[in-house]
Amino acid sequence: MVTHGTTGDVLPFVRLAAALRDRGHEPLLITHRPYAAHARRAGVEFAPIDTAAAYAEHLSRTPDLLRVRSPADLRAFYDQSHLFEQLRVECDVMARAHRPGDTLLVGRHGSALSVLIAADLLGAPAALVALSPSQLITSAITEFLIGAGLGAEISRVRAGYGLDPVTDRSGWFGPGGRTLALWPEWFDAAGPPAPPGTRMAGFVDGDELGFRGPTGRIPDAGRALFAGPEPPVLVTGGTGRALHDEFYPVAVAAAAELGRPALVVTPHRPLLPDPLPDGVTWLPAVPFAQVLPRCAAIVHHGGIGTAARALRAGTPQVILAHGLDRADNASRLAGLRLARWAPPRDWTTSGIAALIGQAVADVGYWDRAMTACAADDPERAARTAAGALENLLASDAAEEVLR
Amino acid sequence: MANPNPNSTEELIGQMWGQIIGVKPTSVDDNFFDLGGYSIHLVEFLQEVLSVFDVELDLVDLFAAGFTVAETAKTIDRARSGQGAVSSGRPL
Repeated sequence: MVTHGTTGDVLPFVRLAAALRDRGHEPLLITHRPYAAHARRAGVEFAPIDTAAAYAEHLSRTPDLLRVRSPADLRAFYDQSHLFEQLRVECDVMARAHRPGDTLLVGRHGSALSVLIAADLLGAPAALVALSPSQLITSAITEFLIGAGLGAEISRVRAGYGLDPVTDRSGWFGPGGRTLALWPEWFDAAGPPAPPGTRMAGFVDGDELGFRGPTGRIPDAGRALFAGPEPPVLVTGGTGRALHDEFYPVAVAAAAELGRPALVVTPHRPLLPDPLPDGVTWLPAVPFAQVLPRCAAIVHHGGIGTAARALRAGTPQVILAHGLDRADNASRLAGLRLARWAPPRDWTTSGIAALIGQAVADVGYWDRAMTACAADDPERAARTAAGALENLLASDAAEEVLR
Repeated sequence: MANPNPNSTEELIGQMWGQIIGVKPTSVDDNFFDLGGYSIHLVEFLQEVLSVFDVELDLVDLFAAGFTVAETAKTIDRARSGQGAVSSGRPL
């Protein structure tokens, strides 16, 4: 199983791997070094694709991903982040671990190019896991950018394994019927739908295994916040750095303007204003599953894992969405009155403070969130996803679809 | 928008971008991405172009031309006159 990105991209794979292990399989998670501990805690075998230092350096470059406007931009990002070398590492790991007739390759949709190469090299079945609807909606654009920007170098990687160049781009990227979607059908129906035949398993986020936060406890500095008379507003842009430059400055200023205590959670302190306004506390990480139900509202970037987590906690959310899948996630939730959101052009301190104020005062939110999530069970979603992958492995791979 | 022909392809593109991105271009030289557009907006725009102009734009043409109102209008007009390429079945 190959995935890339930050916590929202990796934990679902850890959870999925754990579900496969529970069903008697021997999953191998191939991803960034800092997630080795998560895999170990879940009892899942792990192979790193980088070092902690290389991953940190890569993260520092990820804001460039938000500025990719052409195939050449994407190629430059791959070159600067040494992602073609990483691609070879991933292929080599899969080749070593492969057991003919007994191995299924699973990759994160849009980034796990190594899974597609290894599938050709090893003759193994492959499935792609999409983490949010926009990955599927924009797949033609992703394919174009990858094909036009990376195609020549991918062909060189393939040649190194004795493989011919890909002659049909669409056929190569889209293993027919083998895409698993980690969101529920009601979320899919709230916006442009996934292609017909896509299997939707529900939100799989990994929180249920207690992975969030370094110790599973709220750090002391945070606990003081929750002892006060007013629950705090939580601000987080997730664990990544691919954020609009103004995300934290605007979110923090707006939370401070409200006059409520605020907790800002990011591992990347340099992204925050310094000094922070009075009443605003920073922590690098917290166990979100424990913290969210105790917050008056959450302001976040629109990551699907954070959004699903807030929904399950019944915590009103304000989404400052920029790039990637975020605006699509936000508009789906807003259409169902499950979030308020704003694109960057509307990010003023007073405007966002007003949205947070509305969210805090939204007494009906909890009921709406619980109704939306009534059928969502993360354990069942993980089992459903694992079962769908299992079907693929158990079947005649050439024609099988996920079901 | 500065200097578009009324009811021209440029004017229609300006209206579409305003609706999809939420920011209407003020010049035919405005770039889709500079206005705040990104991939999901692009998908929506391509669907709108198909619906309004009955042409399926090729991403190669679109990106090669520079994604301004003026250049996009030329790409659409070329495609409408049958000079555009098709994007399916390309090698990687």
